[in-house]
Amino acid sequence: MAGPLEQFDIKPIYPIEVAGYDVSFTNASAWMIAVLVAIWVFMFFGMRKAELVPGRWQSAVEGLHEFVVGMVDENIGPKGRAYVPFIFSLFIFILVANIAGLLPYAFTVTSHLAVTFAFAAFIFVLCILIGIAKHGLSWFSFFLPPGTPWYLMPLIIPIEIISFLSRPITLSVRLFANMTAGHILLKIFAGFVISLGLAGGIWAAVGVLPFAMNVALYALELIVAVVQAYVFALLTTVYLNDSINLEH
Amino acid sequence: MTETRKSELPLEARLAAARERANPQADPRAVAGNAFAQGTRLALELVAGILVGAALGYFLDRWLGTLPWLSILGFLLGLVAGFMNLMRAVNREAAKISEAELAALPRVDDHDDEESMF
Repeated sequence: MAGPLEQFDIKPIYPIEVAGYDVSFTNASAWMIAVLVAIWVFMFFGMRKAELVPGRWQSAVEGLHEFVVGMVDENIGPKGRAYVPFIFSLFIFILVANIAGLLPYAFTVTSHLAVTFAFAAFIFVLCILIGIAKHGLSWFSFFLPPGTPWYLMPLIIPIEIISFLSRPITLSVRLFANMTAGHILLKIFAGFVISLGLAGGIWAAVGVLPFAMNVALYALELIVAVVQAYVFALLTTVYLNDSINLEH
Repeated sequence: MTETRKSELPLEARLAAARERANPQADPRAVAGNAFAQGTRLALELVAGILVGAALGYFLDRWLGTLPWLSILGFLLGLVAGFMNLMRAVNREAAKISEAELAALPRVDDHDDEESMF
């Protein structure tokens, strides 16, 4: 029986080495491509014959898009429309990757800190670049809340900088920790079912309990998968808002 | 008096029913999942602030050779920054909740195709 952490192992499928770096095509890469294909199929065939009165599939695509547009409008305002494609791509990739990870034998792409931190670091750098592009050097007044008395400045500015630097860490660790913890729990309870079943007799009957627990956990994990994708996209819009509309 | 009260009662009932239709009760499982996400989020804000502050202080210490003073200062500033992040996150949620309460007021059903996708 596999250990609870074995599901996160990265196994190379096709080894590639570039300039001494291991850039093999792994199971993680394969699942990322599978997720992208799933998204592409969902979007393309949903909108292939775009009708004025949408069918079910088209409604699903449009509803998802409306949802992201609503979130951006609410948090950024009219200036945020240009960022809808970015937020939408981010949201749908994380959402589909989270849900695909719940399939049996699947590999959860978002359960790796390397993946989530790559997203978060990209968003972090993007926020700084957009802020400087939109507001020039006055963007750095972001680190100084308006109305700060001069004698508090040496204290407030480092605190604001630390608070800003902690953003990519909270953003990435939240998603990674939620996905990893949930999948470990699922695996452990599934392991109980197997070992109790193998024990036979009265123990096999007791095995119904962890099985029921796993069913309940699965429902919870499905919610967590959606909520975490939503939270990630929501916080990205909140952070982008700080760069686009310089305010506190 | 009794006449008006009788005619008021069905109105109240109808209002409640309309409110229920406009804003159906949230699924308790979804509420629990949301609360769980909130909890881990808020705990993380505090930890991340402390970690970033302490790490920043430590690297400055290594660079300037002032171990351990800037690490300690960074840790304390990180603690404050973590609490500030926590406060901001909670305030943002609180603002959203009061907005939700506003939205919970009775309103006319929306039959616009563009808006009622979900």
